[in-house]
Amino acid sequence: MLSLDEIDITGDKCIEWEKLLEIADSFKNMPLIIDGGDAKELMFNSYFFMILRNSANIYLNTHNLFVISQIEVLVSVSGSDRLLYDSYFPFYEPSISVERILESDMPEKSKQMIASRSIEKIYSGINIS
Amino acid sequence: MLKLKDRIKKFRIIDTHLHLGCLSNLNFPSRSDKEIIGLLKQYGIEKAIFSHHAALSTVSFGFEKTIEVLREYDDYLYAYLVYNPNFAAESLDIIKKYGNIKKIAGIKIHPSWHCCYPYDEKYDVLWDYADKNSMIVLTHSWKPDVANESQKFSDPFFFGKILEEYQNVKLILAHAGGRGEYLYRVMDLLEKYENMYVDFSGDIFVPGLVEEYVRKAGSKKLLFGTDMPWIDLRYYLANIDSAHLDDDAKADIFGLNAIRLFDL
Repeated sequence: MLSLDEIDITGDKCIEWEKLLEIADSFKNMPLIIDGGDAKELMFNSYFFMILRNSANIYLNTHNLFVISQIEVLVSVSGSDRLLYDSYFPFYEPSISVERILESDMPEKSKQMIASRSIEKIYSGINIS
Repeated sequence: MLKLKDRIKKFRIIDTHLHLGCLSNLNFPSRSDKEIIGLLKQYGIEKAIFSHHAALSTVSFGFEKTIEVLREYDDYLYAYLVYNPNFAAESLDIIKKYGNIKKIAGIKIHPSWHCCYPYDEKYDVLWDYADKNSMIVLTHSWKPDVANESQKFSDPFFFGKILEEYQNVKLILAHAGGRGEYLYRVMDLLEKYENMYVDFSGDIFVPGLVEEYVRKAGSKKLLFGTDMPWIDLRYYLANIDSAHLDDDAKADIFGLNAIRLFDL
């Protein structure tokens, strides 16, 4: 899991997104989860489209996909299995992230995928030898 | 258990902090005015008060866009006129000419966007005019010492002194100070200044924060604002709906305070 807060060390929103793609491409069996932390992910929407379209093993946490209808749009770009529900509790009130998924304009199957199935799929694919 | 949409039906809800219009440097995928207003109506938001993105950056063009949107959604929207201290005379002319029409709810200022401290002399004419006309001013407010250096212009503690000098101005601190300890220190300002209000727009979802505001400053000075399209409406509805408050306090925050303040 990579936190945007930690990657964006200057706080100026300059992140080398291509490097994330390189890492994901170099380690194709390694799921790479991007955690928004306290960063305003809304600034990065275009980059999200780019990294999701050009990788198969990068995932996004949902807790601060704040922009209007951003979750629905990202699902339409990459499918619901690339988004993972998280609450960011105790920094955020957990009900807001739950309600955002429940109230989203998506089929129930997509909501279930984000709420739990995506992370279950990731864990079921982990084989430590 | 009822769905969120059904649970909030009993409240009158007014969005006092909305943005409309395009913004060139951010990618908002679902951002047309129609889509934004559609989502507000879908959740039973009764009225909304917006400032146009274009008006934050330009004066006359921004004003034209503001009026254009107001005309299109005349039965639903109210607007803030933006005062830009870097174009003080032009901004104030517009406010003087149009500030008293019914669909203009108040003035929006954004010291960080315009890189000008609110106590700078470039703001004097605005404070003076707003004071003489008992106007409502919505200001961006944020913790100053964060990575984004322009936030230093919007320290909420600048506004106490201004309200002491201009006692007829009704001031809304948007985002309640924005981050960290400022979210709590702003409560002291609310207690001290009768004409000061806050909205919780922005990514301000600290558990227990709304409850703490009500405990300390009461429920009458807190406003519901979404900051859409920057932040999806559903986060805010859930935040107030889930707060451990009685329905009277929630009703105040969701809409009654705005109805009283803006005389809607």
